[in-house]
Amino acid sequence: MTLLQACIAVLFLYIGVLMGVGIWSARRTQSAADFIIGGRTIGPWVTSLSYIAVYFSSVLIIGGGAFGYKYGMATVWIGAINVAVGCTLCWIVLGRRVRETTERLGVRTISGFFARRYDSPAAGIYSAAIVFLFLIIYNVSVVKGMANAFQVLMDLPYWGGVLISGLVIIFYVVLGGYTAVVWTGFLQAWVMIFSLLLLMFRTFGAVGGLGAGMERLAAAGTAYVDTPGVWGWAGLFSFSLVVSLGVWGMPQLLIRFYSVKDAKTLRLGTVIVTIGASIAIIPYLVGALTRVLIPGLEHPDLAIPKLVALVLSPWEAALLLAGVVAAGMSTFAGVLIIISSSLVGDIYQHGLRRKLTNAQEVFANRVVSAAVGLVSLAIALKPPALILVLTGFAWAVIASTTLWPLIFGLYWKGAGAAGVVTSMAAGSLTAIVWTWLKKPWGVDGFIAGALASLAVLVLATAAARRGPRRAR
Amino acid sequence: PWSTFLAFVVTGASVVAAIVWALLDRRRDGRA
Repeated sequence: MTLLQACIAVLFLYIGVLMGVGIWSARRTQSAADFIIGGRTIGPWVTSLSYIAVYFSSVLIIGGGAFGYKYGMATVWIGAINVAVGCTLCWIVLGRRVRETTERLGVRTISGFFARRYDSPAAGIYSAAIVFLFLIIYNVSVVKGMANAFQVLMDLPYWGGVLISGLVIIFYVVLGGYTAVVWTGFLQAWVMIFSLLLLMFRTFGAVGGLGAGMERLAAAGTAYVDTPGVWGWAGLFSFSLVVSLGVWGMPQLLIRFYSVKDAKTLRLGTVIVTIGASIAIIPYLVGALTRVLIPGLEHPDLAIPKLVALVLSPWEAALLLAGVVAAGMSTFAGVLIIISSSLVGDIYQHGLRRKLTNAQEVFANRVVSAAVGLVSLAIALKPPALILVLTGFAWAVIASTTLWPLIFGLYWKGAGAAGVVTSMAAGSLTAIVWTWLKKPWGVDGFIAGALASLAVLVLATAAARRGPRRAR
Repeated sequence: PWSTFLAFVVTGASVVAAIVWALLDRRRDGRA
């Protein structure tokens, strides 16, 4: 059995299961609420594991391994902060509030929340436009990461990886909507968890046990085992914060909170998501240990593919490929359905005030998710230079736009419409300009954008509260 | 080194925090 045959067998089985879930979900998708948020009926296991599947894309596994190889063992902190801030704290601070507030306001999207909570249609439209535009760009980078994984792990040409993974996702998202997204995400999370644990234990075996591996890594240079190590404090912790606090404003993750059955579901969900997300540490850990097994790699991005070829059997390598592809597919699918609902629900129906019947809304969402999915694949096949530059912006721009208006809207009754659109615009523009200026002082665009958004929101709210009182 | 091992401690502490929060949240609901 060669690696290629094993990969083809595993992929066929895997794609078959995903398409089966799509067909099964289609029968459960009757209304627009079913298509967009699964009719608010999703339980704790599916919610938590699909959160992990959407959070972590192929970039975490291949790129995380590259970071570990390049910067050493200190990078396990990125995974640890992903768990503590991006999962546990996020679920505790936002989960229940988002679930209860969105139900009370009767909204199904983050932009709908802004429009209703702040009584500001402009806030709804501006945030929907930012989400629509930058999530498409983010999705292009997710497909690229996935196709690159196919290329390095299976020698499949780049276009083949884009088309195989992309068309399967579009098939199940168009048919089954959000139900298909969370159930495939649930299955994909298990594939990711098993394949990463397998890679971890095989790597420990190859270096003679974790203790011996650490000793050999320290011999290569103590900076590879110490914190902050090669990278330095500012770089390591600013990056960790961006990829952990940034998710607090990402609509494809927040939707997990308003689609759950009830607030009680979030209790067990918080525990499951914390334990499950701990796999985020593994790529950094094995990436750092790869330096012991394969010193002197010129391209750190090859750390995980080379490690896989060294320590896994063909069947195990095929399982890991499925894990890497699962990470990318679940992220692409989760983002695709958000893009569709922001265009059909927030921009067309609420922004332009066009009425759609329930059946028309489901049909429109299916058409839009198919069209946006195909456009994303077409861009990913031959990305223009500008799109490639913008993929570095997408995460920072969306999170800077939504983070503070969301937290203020949930926790501060005094926060009103004054300044909310200005705050969003300040956040997104600062993030764009800051990233364009090559991140002065090594500070990420998200941190600069979020600070600008916070400052505007606090000042505008304070001024608005003082204004009427003076007039009286 | 302890500075790096602390990352695993933080992850373990997150799991404990999630369990404690879930139990407290359940108790709070029971009182309501």
